[in-house]
Amino acid sequence: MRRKKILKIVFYVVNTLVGLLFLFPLLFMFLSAFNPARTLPTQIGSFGDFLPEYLTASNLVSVFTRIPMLKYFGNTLLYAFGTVLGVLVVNSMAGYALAKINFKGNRLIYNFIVIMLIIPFEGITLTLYLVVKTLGILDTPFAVILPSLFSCFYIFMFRQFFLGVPTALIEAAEIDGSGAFSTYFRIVVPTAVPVFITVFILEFIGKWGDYYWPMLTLTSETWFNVQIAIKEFSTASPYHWGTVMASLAVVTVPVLVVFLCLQKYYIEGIATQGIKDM
Amino acid sequence: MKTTSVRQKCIDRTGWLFMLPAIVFGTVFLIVPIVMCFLYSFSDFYMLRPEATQTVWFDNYVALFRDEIFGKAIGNTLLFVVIVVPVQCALALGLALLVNRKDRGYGIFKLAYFAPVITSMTVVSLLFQLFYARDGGVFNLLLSAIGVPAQGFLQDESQAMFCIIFMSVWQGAGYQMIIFLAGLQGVPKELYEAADIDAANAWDKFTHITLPSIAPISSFVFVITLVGAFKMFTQSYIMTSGGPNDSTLTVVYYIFQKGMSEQLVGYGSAISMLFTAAFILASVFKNLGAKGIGAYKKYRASVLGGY
Repeated sequence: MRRKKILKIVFYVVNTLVGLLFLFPLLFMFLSAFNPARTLPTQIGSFGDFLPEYLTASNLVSVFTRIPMLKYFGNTLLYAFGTVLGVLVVNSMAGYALAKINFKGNRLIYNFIVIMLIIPFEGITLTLYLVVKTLGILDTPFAVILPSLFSCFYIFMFRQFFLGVPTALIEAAEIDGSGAFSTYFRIVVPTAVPVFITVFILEFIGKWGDYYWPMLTLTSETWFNVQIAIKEFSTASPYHWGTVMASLAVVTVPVLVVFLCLQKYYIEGIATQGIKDM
Repeated sequence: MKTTSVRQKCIDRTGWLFMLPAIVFGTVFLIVPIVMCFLYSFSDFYMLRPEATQTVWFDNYVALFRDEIFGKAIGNTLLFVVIVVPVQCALALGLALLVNRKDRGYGIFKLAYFAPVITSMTVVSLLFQLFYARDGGVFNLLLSAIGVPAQGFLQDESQAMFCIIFMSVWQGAGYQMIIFLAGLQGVPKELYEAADIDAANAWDKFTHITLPSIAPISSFVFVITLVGAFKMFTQSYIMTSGGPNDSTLTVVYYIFQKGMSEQLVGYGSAISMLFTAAFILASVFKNLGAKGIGAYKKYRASVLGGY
């Protein structure tokens, strides 16, 4: 019993130390965001310069006044919600068809999707760019939304979930004269809320932090998302240390909040079927 | 007989209708780009003069084999992969073991280890770029406190990649930790109780119960870490622009550099095809390997009579 108690304390101490070490960069970022010191990053000479004399919100204010940060927030939310909505509709329907509708070609499409899971997005970006350019949607919200709608991974995930929905439920609805689409949206979808939330949060966090593809396709400032905005902000002109840190903190907070609210679903998503990167 | 076929036809139609949106988007934004990439890799397509495109067959691929920078990009990518994969997996397992307890307050520890994962790679890269700065960077201030002269870090050809590796491991380990944790929580308690009766020590329990039990999930973690590491781009792009002297240039970065910056789509497509082919080959080998191990186990079982 004594041994167990000591072990418990040891685990608390080690976790606290390692946890602080792990969080240090982020704590540093948030603390510096409130630092009033008007120092350029290169002018810092000692650790003392990092410690704020008092806390101020002026850095946060200048992030929103020097660049149209609110607009970038709006853009990013538009891309994130636009993508998520489309992703949920397109892939859940496909996943349902593959799991519960025994149509001719079902097996073929399923195998095809499993094979396509291997193809890395980075391997097709060049020609995907040309496709988007040909469609005339370059430098519009559609350039970031439309190419993300189809996802082999999400189809696979929805299919796995729908396999567990009892077929009797669907048949009962059909005997009552419900059409295939109304059965799906009124009977099946309500049973699948957890998997919808999981996909929502995976895709939302992914789209919020997305940099590579938006950077390629969104060239005018009016369409920047937050990630491109902070990259431009911190490299374009010599801003004060605290202001740069504030810009980083500002784009991190919303996604932290979303995560904290829905972490159960997020963690289930990656823990049980976390094969997003395959 | 006829009624079944009518019913089946109806089912077919419904199925394909449900698949339709996915088929449309999948064709336009996945199949077409793959086919285009394959075809363009045999051409000298230059985005600024598309009308002058000619079929050059394997010239791009031959040129790639002689391209020293491409070789460097492969070397850098492999260096990144070879260090990040084992270190990150080991760290993730260590963290999972640390937080795999039922005591009060462990949610906060999990959150601490997971927070860098939710922070976007762009934010993390910009943050560490400031940390690694020669003047006023946190790391150099720490070093000077213990009397070590200022290091170049990202500006030093021999250090830049290791700086990115260090940051990437820190940023990503929480993700694998969550998967390991799910694996650890799935290990049957009875096994540990039985081991306690046999008076096994902690190390024996770890090597004889924990590790074998989480072997399947470990191979899964290994694969996703490997796949992610091969795609490294954002860190190099933001922190070093692939430099200094191409020391942080990765394969994905080289695709971007040739195909987008220099607009040599033909050449870029050839790199993309090799990159994609590597993924396909790896997955074929993985499946063959799994089959091979399965066959070997069966063989052994038949020879040893199940032992």
